[in-house]
Amino acid sequence: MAKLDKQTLKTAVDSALAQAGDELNETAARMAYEMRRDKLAFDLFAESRRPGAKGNRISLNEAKAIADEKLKPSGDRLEAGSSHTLEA
Amino acid sequence: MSRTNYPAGPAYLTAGGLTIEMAEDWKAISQIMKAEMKTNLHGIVGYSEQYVITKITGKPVALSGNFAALVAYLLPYTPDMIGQLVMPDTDAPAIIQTRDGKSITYPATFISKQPDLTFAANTDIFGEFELTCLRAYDPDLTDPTDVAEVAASAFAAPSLDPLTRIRSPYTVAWGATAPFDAIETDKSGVKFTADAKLAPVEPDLSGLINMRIESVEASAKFTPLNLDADDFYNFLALSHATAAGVGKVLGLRGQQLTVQSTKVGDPKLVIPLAVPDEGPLGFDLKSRVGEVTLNAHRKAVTGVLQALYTLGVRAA
Repeated sequence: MAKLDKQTLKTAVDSALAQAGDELNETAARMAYEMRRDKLAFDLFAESRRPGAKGNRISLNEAKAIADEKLKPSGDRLEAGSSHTLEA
Repeated sequence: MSRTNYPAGPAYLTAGGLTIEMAEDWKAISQIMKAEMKTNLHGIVGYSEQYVITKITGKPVALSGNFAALVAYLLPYTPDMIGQLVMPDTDAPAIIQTRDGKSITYPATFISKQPDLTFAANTDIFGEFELTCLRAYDPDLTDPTDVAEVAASAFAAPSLDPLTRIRSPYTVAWGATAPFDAIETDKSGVKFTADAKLAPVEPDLSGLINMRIESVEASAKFTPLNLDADDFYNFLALSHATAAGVGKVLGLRGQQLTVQSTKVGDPKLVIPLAVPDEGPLGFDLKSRVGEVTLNAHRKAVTGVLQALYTLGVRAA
């Protein structure tokens, strides 16, 4: 088996690091999206349990699905802290 | 008999709008708080219910992306809030989602113990926090989900990138004078505690219904390896002409304590006025100066009272 020279090794490591960096950015973006989605879902979930709230209680998974619907088509335009109301 | 009906396994928590994964096994302990019923002849002959609480405890996993949000949720109490009630009018629920497909919802929660933070290279930054769950407000007690609601719920693992988990060595500076401006601690790093005392609000009609913030105090502890006995006594300033002596305000011998990651974007702690409280000299093979404690005091800058401490991330 041929030995790799130092330059080849360095190039391989740099390449792997660059790929890892790209993957890290993608994961960070997904986590940031999930944090916004979960915040909105949590608000919807809590709102559905508020005494006097309209409609049925929803589960957290249902709230996440609603939040996904609200966030994805708009290109994630919802800001944290926005007010949300559930449909009756 | 069944081979599969033995429920167990891990879970994650959703609270305060955050999905929180724990570093270790964790628990939710439910308890009926009770009052004794005694007789003179027989001692305790029974109990009556005061209220029901559940305490969720765990050590959250901190990532670069969620550290600030976790700090905001887990360490909400400041001295400026003394006298405030901790639970809002609209209940803040907490949901445990188990891997085996169950959700357990607690309707009304508040942080009852803020976690300690450990600034050390190979230790998770958050210690154990406690989330207390009360019964939902329901005077008639007609809703079976008042205390906890268990339901079937499909599990989906939250995103986790171990490469962003917070692990970092930290620099420690107490003031700007050597050798205190570059303190090197032992491997246990700096342990920071922000302790909030909460007083119960307990109407006779409803039992425990809220908590009121009574006090907030903060301190930091560490074992400095690069200080000698003379540094130790300079640190305590026991014979300082201005600061030392009976009746002197202890804040006079305080300095700013700054503990920050060596990595930009990772945690940073600042205590504007950290005052030495106690510490031992050791005559062993570990360190001449043992674990010292600095308490956070308050000071004003141009008439404005400074924060007890600030927790953030290193900007540059």
